[in-house]
This record gives sequence, structure tokens and C-alpha cells, in this order.
Amino acid sequence: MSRSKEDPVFNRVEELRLQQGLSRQQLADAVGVHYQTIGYLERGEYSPSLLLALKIAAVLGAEVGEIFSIKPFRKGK
Amino acid sequence: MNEKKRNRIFWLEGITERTVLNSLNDRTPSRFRQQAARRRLVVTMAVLIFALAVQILLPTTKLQSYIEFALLAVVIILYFVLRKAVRHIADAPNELLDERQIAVRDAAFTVAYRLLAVAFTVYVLLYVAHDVLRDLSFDSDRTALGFMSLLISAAMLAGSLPAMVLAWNLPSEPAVED
Repeated sequence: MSRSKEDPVFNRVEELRLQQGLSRQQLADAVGVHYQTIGYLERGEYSPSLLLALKIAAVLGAEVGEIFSIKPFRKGK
Repeated sequence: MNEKKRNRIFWLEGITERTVLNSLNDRTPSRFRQQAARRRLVVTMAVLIFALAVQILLPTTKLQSYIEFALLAVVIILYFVLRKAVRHIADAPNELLDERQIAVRDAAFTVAYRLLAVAFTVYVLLYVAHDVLRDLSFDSDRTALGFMSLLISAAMLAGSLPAMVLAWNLPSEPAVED
């Protein structure tokens, strides 16, 4: 499901979404995708397009680089 | 993603807008939300479609036509179950899907096309084998009835393969909230 299984994109969507008190459905509605897409994204089974990444960043109030990375995030960051 | 009042029909895809939207937003529990269950369905479907194709090699008898009819009935039922199992993503037009759904659907079509090329080679080989058997047995009935089962099998495979690939590849669905 990810664009490249060899090059995974790590993300902090779930962590930031929970900090904002949003459900998957609410985040999905805000960025115009299906709630399962958020679920797959949080599980690392889908890498979003740049447009979707920008929309998610806008809703979660963070920079894209703070949410998505090609290197694993350190715990608690 | 919003449901509209008028139920549009997508003739090319052979599906209605309401069917797709209801399927995408269906929250009722189903075993087919799990990848393992979907894969079992795909294997069953593949075996039955292949069984339908090899009918061409069997001598034409009443029992054989009953078996062929039963196989076809089960394959058609499973075809609709399969479409529902993948939430009609394989059949849906772009405008009803999000970017991930479009991506997985298109990837499934690519794989399905490659598999179909291989499958059609097998169908040709089956037809050649059937031709040889016909020449050996001088059974003229083999041609019409046997060839029909091969054609039906090929049509069912071509129609189902994208959904079969999608059902195989899609990971187990995440819950609304895990």
C-alpha cells in the first residue's frame, strides 16, 4: 500500500491527532479522505501524496517535516 | 465523499453512486474486513473459475452440464461477494474515491492485466488440449459446449481479477478507532 515498501515514510499523525482530540473520522473529513486512509497512514501502510501531507499538516497545526519523515521518529518527540 | 440526492449510474463501471458510497461507509462488522478471510475468498474464486475452464476437457454428459451450471452459479455469487468485500473500490470511478483508494485500485488493475495475459495463455493451451481430445474422440459436442465454458470462465476471470487482486493485497482494515 505504501508507494515503496523499501522506502517507508514514518509519521506522527496518530500522536498529533490524539493531542488535538480528533478522531480518525474527523481528521479524514477535514482533509477530504476516507477514515480508513487515515488508519492505513497511521499504521505506515500508506504514504500520502504531498497534497494530502500538506492538508494533514494544516489541520494538525504542524509543519510537514514534523509529521512525516523518512527516518523513524524518536519516542516522545 | 458526500452522498448526493440523485443516485448516479456509472455505466462504464457498471455501478451506482449509492452502492459505492454505502459500501465505503459501511461500518457493519464483516469477516472480509480481515485480509486472511479475503484471501480465502480469492483462492476459492480462482479454483472455481479454473474448474469452470477445465470443463472443456471433460466429455459432454448431462452430469457435466449440471456441474458446469452449479460452478457458474457459485462463481457469480462469489463475484458479488468479492466486490462487496473490497467495498466496490475495484469498480468505483475516481470521483467517488480518495487518493489511496485510487492508487490501490490502479495498482490492482495493473497486476490483474499482467495475470490476465498469463491466464489467457493457459486458456489457449486448454483449448488446444480440447481440440486434440476432440480429434481423438470424434465427439462433435465437445466444441460448442466445452468452448462455451472456457469463454464464460475467461469472462468471469477478466471481470473479477482486479477485485481479486485488490482483495488479496489490501491489508486488514483499521477500525474507525483502534
